[in-house]
Amino acid sequence: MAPRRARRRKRARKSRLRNVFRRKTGAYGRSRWRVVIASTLVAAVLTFGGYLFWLNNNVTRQFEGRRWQVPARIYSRPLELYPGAALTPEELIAELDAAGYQPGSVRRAGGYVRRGNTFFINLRGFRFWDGDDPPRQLSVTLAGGQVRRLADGARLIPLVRLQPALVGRIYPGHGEDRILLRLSDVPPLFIKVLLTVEDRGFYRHSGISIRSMLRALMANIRARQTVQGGSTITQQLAKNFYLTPERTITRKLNEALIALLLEFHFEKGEILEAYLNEVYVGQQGPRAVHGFGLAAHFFFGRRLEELELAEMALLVALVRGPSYYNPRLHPRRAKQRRDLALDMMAEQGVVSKEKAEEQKSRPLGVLDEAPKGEARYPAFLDLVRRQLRRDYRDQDLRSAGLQIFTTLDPMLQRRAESALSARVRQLELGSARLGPGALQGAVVLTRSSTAEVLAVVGGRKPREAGFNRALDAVRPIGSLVKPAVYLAALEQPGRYSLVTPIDDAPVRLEDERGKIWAPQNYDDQLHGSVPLYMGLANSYNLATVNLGMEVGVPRVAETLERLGVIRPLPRYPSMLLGAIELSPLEVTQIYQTIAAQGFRTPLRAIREITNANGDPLTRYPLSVTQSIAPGPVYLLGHALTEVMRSGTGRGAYRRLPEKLVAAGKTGTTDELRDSWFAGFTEELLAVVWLGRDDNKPTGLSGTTGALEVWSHLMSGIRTRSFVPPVPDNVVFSWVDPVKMGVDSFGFGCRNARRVPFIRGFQPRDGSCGENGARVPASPISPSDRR
Amino acid sequence: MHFYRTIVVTAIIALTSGCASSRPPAPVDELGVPAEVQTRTPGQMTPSPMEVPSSEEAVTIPLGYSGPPTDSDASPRPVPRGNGAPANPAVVALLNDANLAMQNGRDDRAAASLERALSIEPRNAWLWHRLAGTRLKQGDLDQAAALAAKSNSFASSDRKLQAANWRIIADVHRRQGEFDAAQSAEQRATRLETP
Repeated sequence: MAPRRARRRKRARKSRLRNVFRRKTGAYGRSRWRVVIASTLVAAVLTFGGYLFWLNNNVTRQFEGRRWQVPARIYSRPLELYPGAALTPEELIAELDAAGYQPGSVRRAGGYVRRGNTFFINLRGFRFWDGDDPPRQLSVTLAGGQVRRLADGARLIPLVRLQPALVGRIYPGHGEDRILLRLSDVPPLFIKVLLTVEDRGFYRHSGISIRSMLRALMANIRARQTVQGGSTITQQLAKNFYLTPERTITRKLNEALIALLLEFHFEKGEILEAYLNEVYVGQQGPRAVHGFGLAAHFFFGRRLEELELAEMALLVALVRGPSYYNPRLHPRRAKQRRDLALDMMAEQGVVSKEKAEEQKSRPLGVLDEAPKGEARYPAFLDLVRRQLRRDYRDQDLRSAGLQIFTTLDPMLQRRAESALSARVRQLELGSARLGPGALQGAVVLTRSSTAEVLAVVGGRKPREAGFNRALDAVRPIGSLVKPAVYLAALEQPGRYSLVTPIDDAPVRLEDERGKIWAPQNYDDQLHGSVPLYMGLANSYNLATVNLGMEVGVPRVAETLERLGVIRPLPRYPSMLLGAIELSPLEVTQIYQTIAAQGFRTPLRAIREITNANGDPLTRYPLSVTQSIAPGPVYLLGHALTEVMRSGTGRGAYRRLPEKLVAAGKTGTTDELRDSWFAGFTEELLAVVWLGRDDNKPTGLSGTTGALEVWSHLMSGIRTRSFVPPVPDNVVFSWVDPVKMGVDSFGFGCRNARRVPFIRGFQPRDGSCGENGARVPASPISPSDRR
Repeated sequence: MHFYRTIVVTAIIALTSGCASSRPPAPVDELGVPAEVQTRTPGQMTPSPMEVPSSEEAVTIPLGYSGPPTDSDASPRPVPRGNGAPANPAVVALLNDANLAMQNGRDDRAAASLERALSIEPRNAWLWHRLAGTRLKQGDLDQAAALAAKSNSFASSDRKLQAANWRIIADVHRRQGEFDAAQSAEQRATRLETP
């Protein structure tokens, strides 16, 4: 349309000029004509010069300042392999699969073979934040649920880490994805394939090549279809890099002009490297696959340098039409095009005819699906993103190619997900109240020694992103608050020990607004005078409120803060029974401090961050603060093991081995709206919440709901007993387990049990003939000691 | 405007491409590959195949370190040994890495190796002590003191190690100008060292 109008205009102008000549001939007329021509030329040259100047500036600035839009990559923790590490063959296979290893052959890096209990792994090198781990010829022998032998070739090695699984990316807005390649990392053979097929004169031409355009034209005529394009690599880069995909002559010309400018300003190597990273080769939903680095991963699950000739040829073949030759959708077309590329290789003498034929006989070898890893752990990645946003700009996360090494343990994550989904379904089936799908839940799992978050489950359908209950379901915590009440008491050893009698008697309190608060026990019974630890073990509300009021609400609140609560806490008596709203993650922080014997460590989901080149940027080191003295927290831990042995948590041993010592606490809120359990073994801490998104009652207590999920989870994990080191100032004394009031000391000997006390505040030794057990006679009050 | 641009661009392109195509064609096997690419040896591209025994029977593997039992076990395990040195070869290897990193002034790497070791042996008082020392060297005084205290919580049977931790705590107090606290920490260390 536009050119035609222009032509018409041009014709009109010419005829006007002719008329001028006819009317006014002579010297005057001729010189005026010259002026017109000259000024037109000057204007044209100036215009073009200006345009060239503008374009040149633009092209060079963009090329030099180009920041490849590389999404941040998020990795799981690397699996540490060492003799003695707990690992089954199934777990190792799952880890290898997640890290993109392919079974069947160890000929190439990234392959593994299993022979009985031994795995042979052609381990890829990997750049961790603390340096390069070299490639290895690894053999791993498993027996009895652990690693027995580890060798690199014939040499025994003490330790190796597998490369971590890629579990997520943070994309730029337009969904561009790539794995950045440096020219020096690209196999020379690949470059030969690329240049043979796409641009044979690349190192000779200056951006565009009439010769190759003509050759392409001839080839296309001969083949009666488009088999070759005349664009040079540089022109293709110009097209990909700077221009919109419209097809006009202007654009073609601009493309050529830009190609010339690029060649004028930059080295061939720079242009080639840019092309290798920029070229568009495929699409997966909103994700645009750019560059050959990602293409190798996307189609073969491999690095570019691991590819065979035929696979390289396929990637190069795709350049011509990423969707037309999509090998997953159109394998026949793709193979034809690949074989054509291989023929060109042989024709040009890059490879022998035999080699090309042999490679042509191979199947495409493309993975049925692009390697997974996207959005498999949305709840955990949500936590990672929130931690990242504190320290990084959104733009950098989306495009700067950051590599984020997290603490996610995919094995444990899967176990936590299946424990939640399976139990929640079971609980619904067993309940008249809960319709299908009504019950929701969340799980947070940490390693208590380092406060690393190993797994986060945000709902019963863990693949679905959306409401992340582990972080955002902020609910009353009910009896989960009670350990803080008892800890505040135990921090005053002169007043309280684990066996100090407390009154489980009715309470009536008036709050600031004059409202009467009269809590009840869960079983509506009064239990009279009970030893302190039993109040906690059986989660008696009245005993806890009486104790808490003696200790003082502010003191309990302050203890909670030292345990790790950051949110402002209400200073009302109802807080003593858990009228505090926290998320499962925040609850985890509280119990983390208890499980780590009073050392508070902020929960961590990220270990290290490196830039696109693998250079370290940020490290999140382990940091500890001793916020609770070792003695009192040890006593509290003892009481929490009693919860599991004889209290509200004892149901866990229907699943857990009797020998395993665990500690924990149930939590239930008004009208059975929330069901909580927080519990730990020596190294693992898990917090489970169950409830409904509409906050209606579930009919589940902490014991009948969350504890079920927790014990299901823990029974599937190898873990060790919670046996904390005994602090210097803690001693054990034998006490009567039944009549443990002050008066009863020393009076019962049968079945006497050992209870820890802060040194100097233990009961005076009694004696008892039976069983040789020494039974205390009466407690020493601090004033008795000299 | 657009129209003129197109005409002139065409002219320029015609000129320049004339230059490009005026060169003699080169044989394709001389395809230039940048020198930096050519320096790579083919061996790097295709790693030498590893040998895998063809059948299960063929595998005879000498058992190396057989590791500590990992099953549920209620009995408290002996935590630090008398000399405080860990015996797990993986932990030893990581400690060596940490030592090397410290010598090279890479304190952050040393700390990372120690943290890796701690995830293998979380109750190893020696590792916590070393981490405290690393933080002290990095000038993170609060962390040094807290980690030394953490080490002490696992070091009940190891008086020498406890003393070393108290010396770190004393050092921290001194650097923070708390001389009384430093002195009392120092005294505790001395008491622990005298049998």
